[in-house]
Amino acid sequence: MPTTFYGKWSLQVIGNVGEFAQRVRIQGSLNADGNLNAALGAQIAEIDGAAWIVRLERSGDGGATWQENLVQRIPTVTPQNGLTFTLYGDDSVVPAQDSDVTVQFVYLDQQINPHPSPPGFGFTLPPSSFRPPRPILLCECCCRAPCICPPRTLKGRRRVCCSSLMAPVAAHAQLTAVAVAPVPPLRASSFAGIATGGGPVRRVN
Amino acid sequence: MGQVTQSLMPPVTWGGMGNPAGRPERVGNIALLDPDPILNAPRFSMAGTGVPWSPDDSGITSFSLLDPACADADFLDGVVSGIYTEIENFLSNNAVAIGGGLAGAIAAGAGPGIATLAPWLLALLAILALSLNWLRNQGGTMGQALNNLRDDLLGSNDPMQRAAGILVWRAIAAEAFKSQQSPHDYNAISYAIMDGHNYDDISCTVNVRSVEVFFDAADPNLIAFVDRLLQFESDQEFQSGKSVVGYVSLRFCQPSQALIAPEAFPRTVAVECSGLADEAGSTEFVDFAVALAQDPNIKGVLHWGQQNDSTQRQIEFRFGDTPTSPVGALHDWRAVLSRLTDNGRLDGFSSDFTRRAGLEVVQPLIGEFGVTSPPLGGNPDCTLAWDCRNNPTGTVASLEIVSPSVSIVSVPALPSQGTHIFAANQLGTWIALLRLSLDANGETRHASQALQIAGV
Repeated sequence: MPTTFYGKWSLQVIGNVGEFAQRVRIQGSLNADGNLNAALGAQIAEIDGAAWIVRLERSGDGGATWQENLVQRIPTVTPQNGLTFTLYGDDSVVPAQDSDVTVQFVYLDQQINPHPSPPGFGFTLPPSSFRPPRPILLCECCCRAPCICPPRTLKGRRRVCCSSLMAPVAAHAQLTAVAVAPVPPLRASSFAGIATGGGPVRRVN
Repeated sequence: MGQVTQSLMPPVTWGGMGNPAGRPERVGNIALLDPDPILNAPRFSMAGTGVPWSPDDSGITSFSLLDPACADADFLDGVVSGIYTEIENFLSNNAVAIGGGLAGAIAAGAGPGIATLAPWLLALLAILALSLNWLRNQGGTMGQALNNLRDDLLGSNDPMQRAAGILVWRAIAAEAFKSQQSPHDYNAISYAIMDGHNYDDISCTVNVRSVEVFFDAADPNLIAFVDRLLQFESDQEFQSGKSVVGYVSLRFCQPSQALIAPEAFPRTVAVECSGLADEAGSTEFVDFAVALAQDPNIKGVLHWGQQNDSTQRQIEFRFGDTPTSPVGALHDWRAVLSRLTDNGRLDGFSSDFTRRAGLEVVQPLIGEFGVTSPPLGGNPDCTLAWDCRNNPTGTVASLEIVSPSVSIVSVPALPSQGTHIFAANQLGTWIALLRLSLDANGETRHASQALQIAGV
C-alpha cells in the first residue's frame, strides 16, 4: 500500500530485520524517484515534491521480483526531530515494532517543523520527593498566606485571628500519599545574595 | 422539564411547565407588548439585559475557560499564593505536594531536575510577592494579571531563570484553570445554562483567538497534531518567553449527516485551541495550530465557524470535488447549492469566505443550445442560439465552428445568452461546439455541448 507524502522530507532506514531483501520505492517526487536498498542506516537527505508516494517492497528471489509490504504509518513528535512519520513494513500483519523494515521520515518544512530546538529544561523530581499536602499557616499580620507583609508591619502586631488558624487543606489532600524518603532540605541561606524581597516567611515543613 | 430545578423567583406570566430555573432570570416577563421594530416581536424584561445565571454564589457561569479573563483577578491571589507557598516549601524540604500546582507542572523522574533551579526559584519568590502585592492593591482583570506575570516570569534571558519562570508559570496556569474547572453540578432551562454572556458588561471584551480542528478519532495524526502543538508551546516558552494563555481541549462527537460537516467520521475528535489574543504567544499558538491543521500531511479539518482561512484547494483536498476527480461530499453539496441558486446565478448565499473556500458552484452548465435557423436551399446561413444564464458570474462562453474540411473558427468571449450566425457553405457535416469556462481561485472547469449541422 503506497503512502503519500507532501512537501520536503528526509528519509532514513532505522530498522531492517527481515529475511528478505527490502527496498524503498519512491515515485512522483521532484528529485528522488527510484529504489533505495533498505539497508540499516540508508538515507536520503531530502525528498521534495507536491505529492509523492513511497512503497516498501521485499524480494524473496534475490531481487528478480518485488512484492509490496503491508505498511503501517505512524506519526510521532520527538524532541530531536519534531514531526516525523515512521513507516513499518512487513509481509504480514504484525505489531509495528515487530516489522521487518522500519523507515523514518522527518518533515523538513520550516514553518511546520523548524530546526530542532535545544531541549527545554527537564522539570522532573524523584518520585520520593512527592508528599501529601499539609495545612498552610496564615500570616500573623494579614491573616493570609503567604505572608508578604514588610517586617516592620509584623513587629509587635500579632492578630488573634490567625495565631491558631490554618488555611484549609486543599481537596487534593485526600489523595493517597506516597512514601516520602528523607531528603536533605535546600537551605535558602546557601543562596547568598539572592533576596526574596518580601518579609519573613513562615516555613511549613 | 420536570427534572429541572425550580426558580426561586416569581414565575413569568407566559409559558407553562412550571417555573424552571433560568426562565425568570434570563427571559422574564413581556416588557413591551408592541412588537419591537427590529425584532418584530415583543421584548422581554430580562432577555439580553442581565448577568449570567448562576445557581449559587460560586460565580461559575460559563463553560468557556476564557470567559474569566474579564473576571476580577481576586481569585488569582489564591492561586499565586498557593504556588508561592509551594515553592517555599519545596525550597525548605525539597519535596512537592501531591495534587498541587507545582506537582502538575513537573514529572517524576531521575536526575537533578528542578532541584537545580532552586536559586532561581528563590529569586522568583520576590517576583511573586510583588505580583501578589499588585493583585491585592491594584486589582484588574485576570487577563491583565496573567500578562504581567508572564512578562515577569518568562522575561529573563538567563536560561536557568527562564526555566524556573516557566516552571512557576506552568504551575500557576495549571492551578488557575483547575480552579475554573471544578465540578459544578446544576441544572436549569437550557438557554440559561448555555448563555453565559454578561450583558451588563460593557467595559471588558474578551479578545480570543480560537480554532477547532477535527480528526477521525482513529487517525494517528490526531495525537501527532496535539503533540506538535505542545512542542510549539514549549519551544516558544523557552526560546522567546512567550506563552499562550489558553487551552487545548479534545471533544468526541458522533457523526453528522450534513454533507460537509467536520464530524464526518464514525467518531470524530474536535481539538479546540484557544487563547487570549492580547497575550503574547496566544496568537502565535493559534496561528500555528491552523497552519499545522492545514498541512496536507496532517489534514485536519477546520471548524467552519471559527478561524478558518482555508483555500478552495485545501477544502477540496479534504472534502473532494477536485477538477480531476469531481466526486465526493463537496461535489454533492455543490450540486444541492446548484439546485438552490440556478447553478450559481443567484448569489445570496455567497460571501468573501465562501468564494475563497470554494463553497460555491464551480462547474458551469450548458443551458439551452440549438440551431434556430439551419442552412436551407441556397442560403448557407446558420443561426445558433444559446441561453446559459444560469451560471455563476464570471462564466465565459465561446464557440468553435468546425467545417467538414476540419477548419476551425473560434469565437471567444461571448455573453452567456446570445446568437451567432455563420455560413455553413460546404457540403458535409459542420460541428458547432459551445464551451463554457469558469475560473474559481485558479481552478478552471469547463462544460461543452456540440451540434451537428448539415452544410449546403
